[in-house]
Amino acid sequence: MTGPLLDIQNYRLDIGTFDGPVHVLKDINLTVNRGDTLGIVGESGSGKTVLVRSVLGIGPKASKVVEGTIAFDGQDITALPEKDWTKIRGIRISMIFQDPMTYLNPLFTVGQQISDVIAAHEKASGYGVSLKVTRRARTEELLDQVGLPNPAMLFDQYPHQLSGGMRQRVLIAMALSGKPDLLIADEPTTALDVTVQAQVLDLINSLVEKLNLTVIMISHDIGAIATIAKRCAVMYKGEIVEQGLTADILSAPKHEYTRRLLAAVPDIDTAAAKVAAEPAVGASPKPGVLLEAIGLRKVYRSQSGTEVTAVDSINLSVATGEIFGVVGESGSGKSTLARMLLRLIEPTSGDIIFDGKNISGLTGEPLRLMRRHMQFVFQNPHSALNGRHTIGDAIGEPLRIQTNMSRRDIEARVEALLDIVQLPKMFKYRYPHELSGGQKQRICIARAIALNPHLLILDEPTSALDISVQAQVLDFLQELRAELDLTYVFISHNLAVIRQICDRTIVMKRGVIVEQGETERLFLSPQHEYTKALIESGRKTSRAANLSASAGPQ
Amino acid sequence: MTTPVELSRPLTFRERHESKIRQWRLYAHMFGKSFSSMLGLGLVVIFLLLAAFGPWLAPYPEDTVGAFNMANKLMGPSAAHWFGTDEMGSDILSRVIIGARTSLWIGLIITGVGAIIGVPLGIIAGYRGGWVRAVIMRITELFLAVPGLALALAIVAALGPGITNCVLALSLVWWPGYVRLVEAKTLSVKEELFVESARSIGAKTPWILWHHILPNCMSPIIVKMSMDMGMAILSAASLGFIGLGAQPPAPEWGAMISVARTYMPDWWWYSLFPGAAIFLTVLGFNLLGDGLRDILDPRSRDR
Repeated sequence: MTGPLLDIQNYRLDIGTFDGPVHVLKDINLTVNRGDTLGIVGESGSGKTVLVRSVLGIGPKASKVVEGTIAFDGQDITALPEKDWTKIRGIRISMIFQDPMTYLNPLFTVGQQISDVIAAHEKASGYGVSLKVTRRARTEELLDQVGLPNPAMLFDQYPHQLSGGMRQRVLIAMALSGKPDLLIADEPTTALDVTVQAQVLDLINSLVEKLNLTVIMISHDIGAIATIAKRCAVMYKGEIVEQGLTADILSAPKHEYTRRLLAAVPDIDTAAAKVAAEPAVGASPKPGVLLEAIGLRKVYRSQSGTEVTAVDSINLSVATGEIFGVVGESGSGKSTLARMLLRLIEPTSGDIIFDGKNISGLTGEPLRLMRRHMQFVFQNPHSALNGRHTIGDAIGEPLRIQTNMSRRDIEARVEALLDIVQLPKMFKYRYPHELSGGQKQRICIARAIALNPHLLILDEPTSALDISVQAQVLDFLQELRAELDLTYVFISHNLAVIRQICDRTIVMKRGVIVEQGETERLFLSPQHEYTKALIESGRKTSRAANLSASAGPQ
Repeated sequence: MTTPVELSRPLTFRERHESKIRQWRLYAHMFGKSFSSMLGLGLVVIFLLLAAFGPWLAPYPEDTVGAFNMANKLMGPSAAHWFGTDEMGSDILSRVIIGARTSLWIGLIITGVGAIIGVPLGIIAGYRGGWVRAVIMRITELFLAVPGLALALAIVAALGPGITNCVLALSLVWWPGYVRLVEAKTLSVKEELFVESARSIGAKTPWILWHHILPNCMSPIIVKMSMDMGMAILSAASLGFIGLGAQPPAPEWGAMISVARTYMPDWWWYSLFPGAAIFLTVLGFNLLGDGLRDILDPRSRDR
């Protein structure tokens, strides 16, 4: 047992597609010793998930190992038959997945699912399945271990009764049920809120200490990696471009890509220089209120008759030319608020004043015509574009709906818009699925500005994108605002992003505004408890904080 | 992805439609890999050709319009009459070939009318929701509750036998399936972000239905229509068999078997060949539909 736990040598993997083989992994060399914590950072499509899935023998279909080996505890597992995998998977190597909701079966109780896993492991190890009571005790012990309160009650609950963070803890408990030697965590915090993220990372850290686990964690979030991993590997286009101690990589990145990646991470603790410069341009020409909401309320009535107030008596005013930030965790009602401002959802009560006109009573044609002045950019660019329309159709659609421009004029305008969003003109013949996430989001923005609106409401425009792409899109949004004299309402859960670009910000929790004010003031001296907690947990995964923390003890 | 280069010259057709061409080539590749799909396509193409060029291909075209030649009646398959002759001495091969056109027309009209009635109703029901949906869906369920063929029988019996009435009756019972299918698909498509996005740029409901919902419902509709072609041909043949569809001497496969059943089993060729024609057409359309479903399945799109 002196050798490394996991040893990947010159591993190369191809995936066969219609267009020929794609080299997904190129020449991967990686060793993980017992007790190591290794982080793998990379953008989507860099091959990090394929790599760890191959370690677990659940790599993509139609894939082919070109050369190289993966050895686990001295045993070559590159071409292991399915029968032998059952003795490794979940027992010696287990995995925590990204989205805790889709990996739990909604029809069974949490306890049932974990005990089933225990039973399966016992069966695989050949000792026979233990009694139900024993398994229940073990399950409760596991649930307790991952810091869940009242495991006995939790045992009989269904996944939908738990919050996202609790579900992720349940998945972790499930992964630990086989007492694995190696725990693989695939973006374990990506789907979670900021405050919950910090808690889950803390949990993983404490488990590593308590159980002496060996962990491989994948993430696109360098902050999360830095909290967990002592060593770190950076993947880019199927290659490991850099590996070493996390602290070293963070403080002195060698590869050019790593440097770019680190530069792109917005930092919660620095006031962005850009923001300081921008308001001078934006604020000077015409002060005044563009959008105002008075006593805006939205009440949903569930089928059982209980009322849920999604947004409760919100008052806000957005000045012309500013970037107005809305921060809050999921379920805080920020998306509902955004959709109400655009009248995509009918408010239960309250008024929306846009450009001096009350638009809350508009219906039919006047409402339709008003829509051209305010536009929405959606969170997920992948589903905001109709897959059956070409990019040209998608950008031209608002023009076709709202204006009488001729086909030729529309074509010309589409090309001009593609130019504005810095994409080549020939993209208009492409289909959305051929474009990357950042390109798609640019298309969505082009579509939104096609009618020269005064106001853009951006609902988490970068949260579905990679960090380096996020930085590009944010820069681009700021340029665009100066160029086209736009006002933004910018919704995000990411505090660092808010701080980087917003002039004024409101903090929302459970449908009410808990704090509002100048963004800088909010970050420097938060008044409300919730704001403080939010900033604190945001800071935890911030790069700068981790740099000093991980560099400190050594 | 290729690196985008700005070109000054106008793009050629091939360059503009590069992605479409690739998509079609991918479809063709996937379809071609499956033996059963290709078999289905082959059968359908053969029958389409027979339907298109039947009058020129049939060796004795006059036999299909009621000419008789009693001297040759009920002869077995031979070099002169490959499929044998019937009780009037007509060439069965000619009648089967000419019958292809009738059968395909029937299938096309029935599924076409079914889709034309069913698809708009389904889209409206799914998109509107509320009482509109309730009314449309309850009426649809009412039709689905009665067995289709039995209802069609009743309608033909009321209108009187004949090929037009038979097609009319079958069309009237054919649409509920489309309402069900399209309604379910619309319910899922209308939750997509791009529909909300279209609404936020001020699109009217008809625009959304036509440009966003319908194109995204097309794959299952195409698959169902292709499968239904076979079923419609079979149903029309069944009505013909019990004497309510096409009337002799019209060369319709169902009607031919209907007459031929009295000559079983001694003059087996008389019912075998029209029966085989029905079997192969239905099989062809079903296999084609299966193949189309495989390639149009969204899960296989990203390859």
